[in-house]
Amino acid sequence: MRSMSQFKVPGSLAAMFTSTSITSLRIGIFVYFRKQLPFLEAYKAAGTFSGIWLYSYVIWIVLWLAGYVALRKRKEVGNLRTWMIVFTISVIIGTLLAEASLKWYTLFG
Amino acid sequence: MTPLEIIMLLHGFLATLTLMAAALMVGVLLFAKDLSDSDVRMLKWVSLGTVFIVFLLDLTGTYGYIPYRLPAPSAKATIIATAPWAHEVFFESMEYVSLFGPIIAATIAYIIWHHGASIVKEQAIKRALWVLLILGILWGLALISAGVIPTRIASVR
Repeated sequence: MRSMSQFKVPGSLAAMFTSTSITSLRIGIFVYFRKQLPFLEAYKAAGTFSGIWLYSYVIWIVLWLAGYVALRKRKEVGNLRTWMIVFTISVIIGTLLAEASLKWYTLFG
Repeated sequence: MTPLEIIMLLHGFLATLTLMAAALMVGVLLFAKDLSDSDVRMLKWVSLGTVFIVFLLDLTGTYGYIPYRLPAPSAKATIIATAPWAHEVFFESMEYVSLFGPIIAATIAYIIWHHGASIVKEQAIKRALWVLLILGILWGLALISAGVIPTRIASVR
C-alpha cells in the first residue's frame, strides 16, 4: 500500500496535472481582468464569457497535448501528493480570483 | 415551450446527471473491493460521458446566457434593477466558476482511464480520487445553489 507521497506520477499524468493547473489559474486571471481584455469578447452576444471559455479550453488542450508529447516517456515526474496539492490550490486560487472580481457589495446595500 | 425553455430544462437535467455520476463514483470508492473488466469499462465510459455532459452543461448555459444579457428590458437588466446581488454575485459566480467543471471532470476521467481497476486497490489513487470527487461535488453543489438564486428566487416573472 503506497501513500500519495510514495506514488510516483508518470509523465503522461503529470502533463494532465500541469495543463489543468495552469488552465485553472488562467481562468481565474481571465475572469479577474475580463474588463481590461477586449479580445475576450470572441462572440459579442455572449460577451467576455465567450472568449474566456474558448481561449481557456483551446489553450488547455494545446498545453495537454504538448505536455503529453514532452513527458510521455518519463516514468516519474514528482509524486501524487505534490501534484494533488498543486492542482487543488490552482483550482482554489482560480475560483477565488474569479469571485474577487464580482460586486459582492451589492449583497449589503 | 420555447427552444430556450427546452434547452434550459436540458441544462438542469444534465446537472442532475453529473451529480448522479459523482454519486456512482462515491459508491464505487466506498464499497468496491475489486473491479471486473466490465466494471472498469463501464466506469471509464461513465467518466468520459461525464466530461462530455459537463462541457454540454457549459454550452447550454451559454445558450441561455445570450438572451439573458440582451439590452434592456432583458432579464439581466431587470434583475440588476430589482435584485442586483442576484446577478452580480450569484449569476456571475455560476457563469464563471462553471468553467472549472470540465477541468475537474477530465482530471477524474483521465485517472480512471489511466489506472483502471487500481482505483480501488491502490490506496494513493483512491485518495486522490476522493479529493477530486469531494472538490467536484462541493463545486457542483455551490454552482447549483448559485444558479437557484437568479433562476428561481429572484427570477423575472
